[in-house]
Amino acid sequence: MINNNLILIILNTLISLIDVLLVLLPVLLSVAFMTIIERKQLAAHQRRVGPNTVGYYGILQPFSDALKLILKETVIPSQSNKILFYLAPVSTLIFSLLGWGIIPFGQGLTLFDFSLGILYTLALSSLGVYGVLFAGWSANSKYAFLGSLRSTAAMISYELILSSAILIVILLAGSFNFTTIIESQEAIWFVVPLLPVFIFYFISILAETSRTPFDLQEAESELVAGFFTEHSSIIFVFFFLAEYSSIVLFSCITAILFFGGYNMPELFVNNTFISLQAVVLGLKTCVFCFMFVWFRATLPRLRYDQLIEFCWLNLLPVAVAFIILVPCILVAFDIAPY
Amino acid sequence: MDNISMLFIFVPILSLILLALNLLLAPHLPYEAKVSAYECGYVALPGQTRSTFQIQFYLVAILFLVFDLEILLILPIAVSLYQVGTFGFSVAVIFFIVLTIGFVLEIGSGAINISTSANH
Amino acid sequence: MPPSGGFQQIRYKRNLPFRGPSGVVILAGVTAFCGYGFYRIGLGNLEKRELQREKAWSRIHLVPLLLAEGDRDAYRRQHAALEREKEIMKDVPGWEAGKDVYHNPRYRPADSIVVL
Repeated sequence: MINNNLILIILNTLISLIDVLLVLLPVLLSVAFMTIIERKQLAAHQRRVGPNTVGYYGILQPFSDALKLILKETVIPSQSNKILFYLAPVSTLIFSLLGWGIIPFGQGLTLFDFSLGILYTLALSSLGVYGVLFAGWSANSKYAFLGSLRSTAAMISYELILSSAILIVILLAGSFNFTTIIESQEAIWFVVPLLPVFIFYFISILAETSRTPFDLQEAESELVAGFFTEHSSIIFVFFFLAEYSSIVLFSCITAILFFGGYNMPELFVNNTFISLQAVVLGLKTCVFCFMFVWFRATLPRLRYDQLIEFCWLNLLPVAVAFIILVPCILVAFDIAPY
Repeated sequence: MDNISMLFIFVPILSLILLALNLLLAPHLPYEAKVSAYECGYVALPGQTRSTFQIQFYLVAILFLVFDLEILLILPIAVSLYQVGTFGFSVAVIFFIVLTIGFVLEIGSGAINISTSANH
Repeated sequence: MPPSGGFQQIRYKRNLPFRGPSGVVILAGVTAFCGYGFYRIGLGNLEKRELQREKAWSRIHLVPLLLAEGDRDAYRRQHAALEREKEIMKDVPGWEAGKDVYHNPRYRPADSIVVL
């Protein structure tokens, strides 16, 4: 009997390990390809060729980069706080990868169908700030410190806008659960009633992932590389992976919150057992990944005071106004979700 | 074991594996100039890097605390708007009016006024 | 002297390129777009409420049937238990199968049923 139970436990563990790997490996691959997509697309915007030597059409470039960085020496500044110096990149990577645990890739195709999925996502994106803070403080370098200060202030300011926008989506869906939110978009994608909200949501995720035009932490002319000035080799890879993972994750969440997630019923209904819902979600995610790079190629960087004041004086009042307006409509016409 | 706890265990292990790979494969030859703090063009002075910073960063963090709490307090109404109806919604609006008064006060007192030193 | 028919008209009209629709047009467009969205959301939410109501009432109407089924099952099991008790205790003199242990003649439904 005990033997049987043991075998069952081991089997269950193995199955959940395979489930986790089935999510994580494609995610890591997509993050790797996101880096090459960014370089290729930026090159295309600027009429260059971009990386095209490693592998066919430069497709193996991210793997060679990663391998090179793994083989490099880790330089730890003598004045740094060693534990925090390692903990910062590790925690950043962990928090950005954990966010994939509750993404529904298809009907019921999720690692964890959490009833408070939105809160989980918000909590993880808040925890991401700690990595930045620790990195800047522990490196004991002026540039890293200033970079982390700027990055932290920008990230927490724009997180307000992000959570307000998500709050408005919850108002329309009436649930914290990602699957329920997707299902309540069968009537219409939330981007149609919430077009202005979508615009400031997208601005806030650009700032949240520290992308241009809000990449003040990496203002090369002032701060060399922002909060990870001192980080080298594998711990730099961690920051890099975390940044691109959160880009893909936020693109995915955008597709889920505003563009109906895996829903596109008219196009992909078939009688086979092949579910194309994940493909639909992937295509929508790709569109937003493209937009991230497109914005980087198009827009110039803001000045820091403009960045903060734009958030607090322009975006936040608009967000609060929408938080009042949307339930007003829902209550006035008695169409609040059950 | 369910999938999410496996994810919570596996992701840290993955990052530790990567760290260990680097430890095994990479050379490690530190010398003084290499491990000193990054500086642009001259030798970094030790002990001068934990410098003071502008109070505005701190103020932004405190304001964030207030407003994030506000949004978190509104979250329960967002999922129960049908149940609480007009009454609950009007309570939320009163809450927002009070907050807006506070926000106007903050803007008026210049708490969010991060400006370059040239503007003073 | 001016040419016959007068001078050409001075072209003082500014030839600015068209810089997109005006603010009012954008505002009206976005409002109309969002209004349509809210209309569809409203229809969807009313539909959701209707489905919820239907589900609740179907459960409510199912309750008597389920109760009757449960009672029938419990009654059958109670009788089967009585038969088994008779069979097991047939050698004990003075044993009355199914006698209430509380010495109370009032009917009580069984506290527990044996699932065999």
